[in-house]
Amino acid sequence: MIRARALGKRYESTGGGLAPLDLEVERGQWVTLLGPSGCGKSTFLKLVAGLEVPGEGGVETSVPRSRMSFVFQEPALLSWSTVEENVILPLRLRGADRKEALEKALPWMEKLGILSFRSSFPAQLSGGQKMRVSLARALVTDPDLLLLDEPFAALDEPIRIELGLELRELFLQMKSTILMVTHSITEGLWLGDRVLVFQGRPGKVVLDEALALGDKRPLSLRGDVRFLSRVEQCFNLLKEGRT
Amino acid sequence: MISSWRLAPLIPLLGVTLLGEFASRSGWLPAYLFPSPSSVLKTLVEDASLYRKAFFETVLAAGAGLGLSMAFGLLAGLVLAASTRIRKMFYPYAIFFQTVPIIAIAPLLVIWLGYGMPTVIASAFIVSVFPVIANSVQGLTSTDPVSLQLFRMLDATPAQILFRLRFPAAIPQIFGGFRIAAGLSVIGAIVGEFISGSGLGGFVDASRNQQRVDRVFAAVLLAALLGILFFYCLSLVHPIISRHEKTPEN
Repeated sequence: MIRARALGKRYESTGGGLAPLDLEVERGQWVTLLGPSGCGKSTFLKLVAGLEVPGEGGVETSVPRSRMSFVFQEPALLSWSTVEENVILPLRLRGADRKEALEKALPWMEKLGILSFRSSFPAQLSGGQKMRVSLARALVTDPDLLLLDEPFAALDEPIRIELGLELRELFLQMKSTILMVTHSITEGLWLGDRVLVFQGRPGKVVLDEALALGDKRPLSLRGDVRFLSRVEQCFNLLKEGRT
Repeated sequence: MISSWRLAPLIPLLGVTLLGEFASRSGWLPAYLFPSPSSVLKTLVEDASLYRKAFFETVLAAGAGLGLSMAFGLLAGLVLAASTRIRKMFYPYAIFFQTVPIIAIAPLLVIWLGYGMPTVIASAFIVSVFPVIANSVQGLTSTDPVSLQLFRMLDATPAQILFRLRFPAAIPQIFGGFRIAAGLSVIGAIVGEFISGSGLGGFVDASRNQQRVDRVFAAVLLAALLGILFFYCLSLVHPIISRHEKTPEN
């Protein structure tokens, strides 16, 4: 699905970026990327998406860009377009007519609970609602690969949990692959099937582990002893990387 | 309470008018230099047909100049924003063009275009085009980088990026340029009329030669009202283009 070979990218101005990385991601996995700012997590996503050119090495994916979706930390909604127009944007840009695009978009809008304000403009929505619109826009193309760059960073904890639960459910239904960058260890481990922990600038992977927590991720899992020991393990690695 | 404050700008106007009237009538200010507001109004009424003709000549010239500025300025903004190289090559000349005083090139316009409407329109255009270019370039080149990445991710064509992202995102700034240009187009038209002898500008110049200060004041008053009228007309469009910015609170 994704194969990175000595894939690296350095930013001379900040010293950050990604140290050469070898990595393979199989179809249907939710991979969580944890690490401090500037360690190359977001860069990795952008290299996979083809939004950045590798400084060294390369990355191959079996998924064409038209089958990928990217969710940014900011919802990046078009302020002059309604919720509905924002959601159907990817389909419209690819030549679908409005009616056809809406037929595809409405079920997603319903699933993500934004159908009732389909005619509203982004300025009229809360942060959580905006992120739901951003997710609907990413999912409307039924992507095989979903790249999430700190998608819940600007949201309150209850909304993060709510959206996380919904996204995990959708992920299981869609059978797609997700790469998610997050700063929240608990959230990353709770939602992911595999965790990559980055250290240093440029960042290198110091932990790459399957989580084996099962498909369903009830909220109660976050209080489980095995889960908490994983959280502690990641926390210690991140702390170690800072010192 | 708040709505009653909408008339607040009229309070200083009324104060200054009353003060001017009092100062003129009591002899504090010589009437041949500062005519009383009532005498200016009287002149406006008595010479209404002259003023009406001059006013509409200026409206037409300033309106045409503004229309040209909006069309050309926006087109130039689109071209300059399309490429950094083009911008580097031509933008300094746009700035240079702005710094050339219109009063200095107005005689040239008369030589090239003759005494009449074309000179006045050209003058209004030259004075008002730069803010439209500058605001268009600024708006079109300051698109949110994350939105640009989103469009790249969606394999959008350059035309889609321009018309579905850059241009709509730039509309508030482009419109800001239009509003500045509205006021400037009246100034440009008046300067052009000083030289070509038509409209309110020509009327001001002729009245100055006749030492009719009351007529000068009346024409200046009309010119100022014309600027406000242009600005107000464009402000009427603003709620339509900014309807999406309305938050639940406001």
